[in-house]
Amino acid sequence: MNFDEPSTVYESITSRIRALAVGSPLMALDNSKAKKERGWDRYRMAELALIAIDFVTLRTDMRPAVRQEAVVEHVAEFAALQLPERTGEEYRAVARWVTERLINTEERDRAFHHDVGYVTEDGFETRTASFQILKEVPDHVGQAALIATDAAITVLVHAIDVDIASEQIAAEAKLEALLKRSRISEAWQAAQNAQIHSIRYAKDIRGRIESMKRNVRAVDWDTEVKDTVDEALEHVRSRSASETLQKERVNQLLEATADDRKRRQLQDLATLIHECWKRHAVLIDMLMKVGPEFRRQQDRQVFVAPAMHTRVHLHEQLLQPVLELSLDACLGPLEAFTRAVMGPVRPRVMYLPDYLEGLAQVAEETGRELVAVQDEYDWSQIDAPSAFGGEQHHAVDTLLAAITDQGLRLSALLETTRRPGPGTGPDAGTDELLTLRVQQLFRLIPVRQLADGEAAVVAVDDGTVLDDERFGGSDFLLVRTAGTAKTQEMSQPLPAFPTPRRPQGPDTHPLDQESA
Amino acid sequence: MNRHEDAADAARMVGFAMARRKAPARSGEYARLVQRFDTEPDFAQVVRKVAQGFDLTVLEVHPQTGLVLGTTPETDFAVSVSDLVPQTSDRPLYLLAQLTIAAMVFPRPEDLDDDEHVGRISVREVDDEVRVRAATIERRLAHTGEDVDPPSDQLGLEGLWRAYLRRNATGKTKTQTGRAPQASTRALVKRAFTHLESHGFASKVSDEDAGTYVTHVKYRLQIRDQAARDMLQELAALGVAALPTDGAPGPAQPSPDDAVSANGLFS
Repeated sequence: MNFDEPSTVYESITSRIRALAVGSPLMALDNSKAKKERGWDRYRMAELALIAIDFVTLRTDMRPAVRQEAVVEHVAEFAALQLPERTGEEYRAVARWVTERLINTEERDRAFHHDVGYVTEDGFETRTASFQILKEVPDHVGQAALIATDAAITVLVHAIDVDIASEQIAAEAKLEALLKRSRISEAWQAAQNAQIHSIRYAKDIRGRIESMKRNVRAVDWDTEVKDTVDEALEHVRSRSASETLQKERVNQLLEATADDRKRRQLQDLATLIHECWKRHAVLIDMLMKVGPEFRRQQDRQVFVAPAMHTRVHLHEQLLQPVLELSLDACLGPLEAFTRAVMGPVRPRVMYLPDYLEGLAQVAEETGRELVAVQDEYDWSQIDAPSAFGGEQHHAVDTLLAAITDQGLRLSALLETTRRPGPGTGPDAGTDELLTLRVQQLFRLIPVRQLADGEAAVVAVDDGTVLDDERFGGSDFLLVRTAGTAKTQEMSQPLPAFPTPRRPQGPDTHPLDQESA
Repeated sequence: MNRHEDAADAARMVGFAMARRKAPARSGEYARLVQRFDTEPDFAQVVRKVAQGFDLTVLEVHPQTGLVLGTTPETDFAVSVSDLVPQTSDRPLYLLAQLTIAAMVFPRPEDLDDDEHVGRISVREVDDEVRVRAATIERRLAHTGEDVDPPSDQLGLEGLWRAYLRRNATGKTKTQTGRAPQASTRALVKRAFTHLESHGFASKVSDEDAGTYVTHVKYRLQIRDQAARDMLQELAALGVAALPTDGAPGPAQPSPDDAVSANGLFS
């Protein structure tokens, strides 16, 4: 073959155009109409795009993918750097726009296309090359996240697609040489290049493992995976050794340098090298697992029958027919669909906070006019006459106030209310008021008053039966009693909520001990 | 490990599947259980039986999402559609929105089998899609002269497409005085997305186009393994769809020859 033949010459042209094409969507960002329309002309969009791609590339070495939100936050910081006087909201909007343009969300297949000329045996022809820059994939837990494509890393993260391993050795040799000459900033740049290479290496390995997980039979262990893994292990182990050396050299330089600026640079460099070293440790770990993982996947895929499911065309077989059904008829099929989509849910166990939340929740669609909550009922405004008059109340108050610590029986008091007098009498009904008040005294012992050492009247039921013509029940004994002032025994005031008394006796045991 | 421990493990695995935000990559325990399910047929059977006890079915075990469970008509663990949409008049439109979201996320049947498929769909796109399809039906029926209004006392006979078109896309429709305003179709689509998000099937990426969402792997599995088939059966019962009669082509079953050769590698 003659090397001057047009087809041979053109091969290189084709491959370079294909590479340059990957840059074109970035350049197009700065000329886009959307940018002008939104008043974003002064942002350097292509540069922000590179920041997004770098971020995704550098982040996807440890974890398989990065969330879009994280990318947007990172790019927004640089948008703020470009135009400091704008708002945070705009920075995020710009960042989101750039990120989504890189995913190419406007195209259904998400791909960018570029026409590239080829010279084949049949002559010249144009073909459409398609590529992606940032790609949405499910991450390790099945949620959407971003990765940078190989095309993007190759062209845009300035790593040229040659043999990865030798490229990295060259990068590290350069780093070593620069360190020897103490050219720190260049060394840093070189270290970062080395880092990018190691990321690509990890990505390559991870890609193989992923495809193996999908289908064991698609990967040939003997010819492909085993060699790659052995080679990678060898490579990564030697890199780790050289990183250890470089770290030592940086440390030596650190000891020898007094200049603050240089020291800071050296420290940054040391961190970067350490990161590389850590990354390689992870890579070794990953590589060691490839073999067992392959066997495991083989067990899984060969012995577990794949889930069987009907292939359904959602648009044609479900959506289109259901649209033409009547409102009554469509409910069954549609409900079946949504119930199955949502899957099983944990039933909510009702507990108190749920009730409160439920009660406090405003209905989504109120729709009705709101009415003011009713005021507390004002008893003075009702027309119904009171059952007992003021004189009767006064008479009963006097009677109860006159009770001494000797005590009086309800029966005796009832008799008094039936004697004629102001507010009293046989048929005045004051006896009924008295029974109501005594009942109240029995039910509501004035604990607080007694605890404070004040005297108060209490009703005691000692088992005596009331013998009366109108009322039945217990003949309560009414006694004025003064509680022992607890405040004198205890220096501190009573707690607002008294604790329950502990049960006493040898066999009793407090409840809370059991539950503890 | 004895039978009782197996039962505990199986129940724990079902518990993981029912909890939100649990994945094998987030929990070593879950990852161990997934591995047991894959490699021990007996244990897998115990898990299936535990699920059966709750009137649930095991749809599959996926490396990213873990155990995927399906509901049966008897189970108490399924969502109640009336909880999702309390308003009866909104219900068919909301459910239609759910189906349309799925149809747009998976435009081709093979998308349901693509392990890397991520859908990105907005509220506006879904609403527009239904309107375009409904308008097509309207034009076709007008052309053939079949378009008749439903009898006023039998509103349930109205076509779903027409009910959707009649609703406003945005804003609130005031109906007769004293009645609650009706939710717009976009509000209903939005609610469908919100429910998908709160059940862990999608996440919102931006407010663009009235809200843009990306879908998770679990959404795909739930539709592929159960929802599409369930609905197809319901439609078939109504006589508007035909069930595939042949033994469902589905993914290629491993042939015995394959199994032997792959096995031979390590023997």
